[in-house]
Amino acid sequence: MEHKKYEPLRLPANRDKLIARAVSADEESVCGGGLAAKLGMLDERPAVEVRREASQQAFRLQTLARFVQLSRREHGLTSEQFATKYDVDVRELLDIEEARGIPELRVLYQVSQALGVSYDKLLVLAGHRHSRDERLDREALRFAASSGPMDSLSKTETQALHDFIKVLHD
Amino acid sequence: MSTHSTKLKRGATGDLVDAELDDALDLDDLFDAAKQWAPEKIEMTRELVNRNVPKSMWPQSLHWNWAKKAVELKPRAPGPLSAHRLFGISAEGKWQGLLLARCVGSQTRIAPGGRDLVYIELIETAPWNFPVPQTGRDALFKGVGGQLIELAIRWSDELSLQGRVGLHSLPQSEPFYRGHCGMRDFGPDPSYQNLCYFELDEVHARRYLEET
Repeated sequence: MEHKKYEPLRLPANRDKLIARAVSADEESVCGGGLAAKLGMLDERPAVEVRREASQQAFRLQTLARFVQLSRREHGLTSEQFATKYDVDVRELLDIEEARGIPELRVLYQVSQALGVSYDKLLVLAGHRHSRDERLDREALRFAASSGPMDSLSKTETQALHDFIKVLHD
Repeated sequence: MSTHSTKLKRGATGDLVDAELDDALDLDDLFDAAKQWAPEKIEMTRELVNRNVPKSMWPQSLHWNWAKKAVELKPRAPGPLSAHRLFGISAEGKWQGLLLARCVGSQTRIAPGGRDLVYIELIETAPWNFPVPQTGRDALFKGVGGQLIELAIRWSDELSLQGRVGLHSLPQSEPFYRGHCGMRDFGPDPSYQNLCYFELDEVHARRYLEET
């Protein structure tokens, strides 16, 4: 087997379909780390814990995003109008609504004031504060499951939004 | 070095651009790639910190630097008498992704019998090919990972290992191996810091290559 190893690989002349399939793959990431694990290059925490934390963080940010977006729409405001009315940077508002990263404390405070909800609860949702608030988690899940990205708020979305606002008031 | 022409897709425009697959690289190429990628990794880290992206959502290979592991890599140096082979894909004068595989020492976990397979020790794409939705960054080029995996399958096939390949995936990459590659997920492997082990069997390998 040894002598064969460095013969050039035989690739077919026409790989068009394979290339088309490769470039259309959803390559969020393709990194493999067997060697990295052996050489101690991985995150020190167990992979399962990293997976769980990333998923929980992503879920909370998505919930915050949906909450802010639905609240703004319930007010009948575009992002720009909302940003102007409540003196929030429009780019930072869009970042929250698209769940791009953890919002700055200042922006969360402005949003909590604009929407009249608890700043502390928004800190937890955004990941600034770690809290084992089971009720918040449960209600966030219920809220996320009851709302969707529609142009106008449905009856169910309106109800889900109001229920969640109550939780964020507490 | 043995090269083959191919294409990658530019993420921003969807255009196909010329690229090259290399199937016999050496450790210097790996270090060259690490040197090309390091400034971009630093820039990406700065962007992630400035945008307050939680660390749990950062690309999980962002801190890898193979040059720092040169001593440990030396015994794995690819070459005519080595069990290791390094594959790469380049475009616009830069390495877009690399894959280091070995052809001895790993057996299939799918069926008993101890049949050998090609084990992928590392696969990494250039940092500019990591999409990071939290910062609005799309991959510069797409199609890197799928074509590197193709080379590993072809090597396995040419060694009469019927295209069998195995690897341990970073958590973020698991959907790619499960979905695009059709690999079987064996779950967390305690001997590899609980990374999930994935394996491609002969049938799925054949299917992968039949896309040509």
